[in-house]
Amino acid sequence: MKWDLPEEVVGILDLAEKAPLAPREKRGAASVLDRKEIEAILPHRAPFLFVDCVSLLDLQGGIIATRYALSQASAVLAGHFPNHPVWPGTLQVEAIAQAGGLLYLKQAGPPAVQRVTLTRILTARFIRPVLPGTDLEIIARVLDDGLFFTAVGQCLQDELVCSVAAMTSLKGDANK
Amino acid sequence: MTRDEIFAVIKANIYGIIAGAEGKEILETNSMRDFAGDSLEIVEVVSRSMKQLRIKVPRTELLEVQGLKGLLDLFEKAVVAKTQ
Repeated sequence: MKWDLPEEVVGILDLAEKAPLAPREKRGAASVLDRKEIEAILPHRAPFLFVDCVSLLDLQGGIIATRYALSQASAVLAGHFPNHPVWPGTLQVEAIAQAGGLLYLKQAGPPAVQRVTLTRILTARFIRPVLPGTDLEIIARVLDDGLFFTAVGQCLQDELVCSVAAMTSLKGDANK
Repeated sequence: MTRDEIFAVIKANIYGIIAGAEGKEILETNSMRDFAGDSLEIVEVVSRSMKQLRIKVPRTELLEVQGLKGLLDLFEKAVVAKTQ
């Protein structure tokens, strides 16, 4: 795929399309952050919080891996689509944005930045359908961009890349 | 780097980001709002300009800026501080 985007973003997207951005052995079974800690950082709540646990959090390296159990998405899957459930691509983009936001907010640490505002989806590509049955894994990297940051990530099922996306967010609240 | 060179960086980003500035002269007395730039476009111009000028200005100072002259004054101060 040819991407018309900043070189650093393209470099990660190229890798993300092909394989997990972090090897399996680095993504532990235990969560690095519990639900309470996740909810203390992200303002999202069920059914729109797509981070159940964090299996890798490397603040220095700027990479995070999260998991989301699709068993919680039965209402969405019932309608998207009847008799042919596929977890929506738009939600995959949202899941990557949440993982990237969590990483960024953890890097920045309070009180530096307590909110981020998604401002632009740079690109997204849906490679394989996300189907019920196996949990979703999201791996995202974050790049600093002045008053903004860019998250580049992927959704995986069974170690296979289902989608990749990149988005830019404003550090802080857009209305302040 | 001179004040004119700093202003050239800001103007290039205004032309690149704010559609309403196309074909119009940009003066220090203008505000980005004069070219119908929305708040997000203005933040993008500021962020991109700071990156290109390799300066960091605290958000609290940016929030107090009035018009392009104010932004230019702030950036010039930051550029001078960086080179000292």
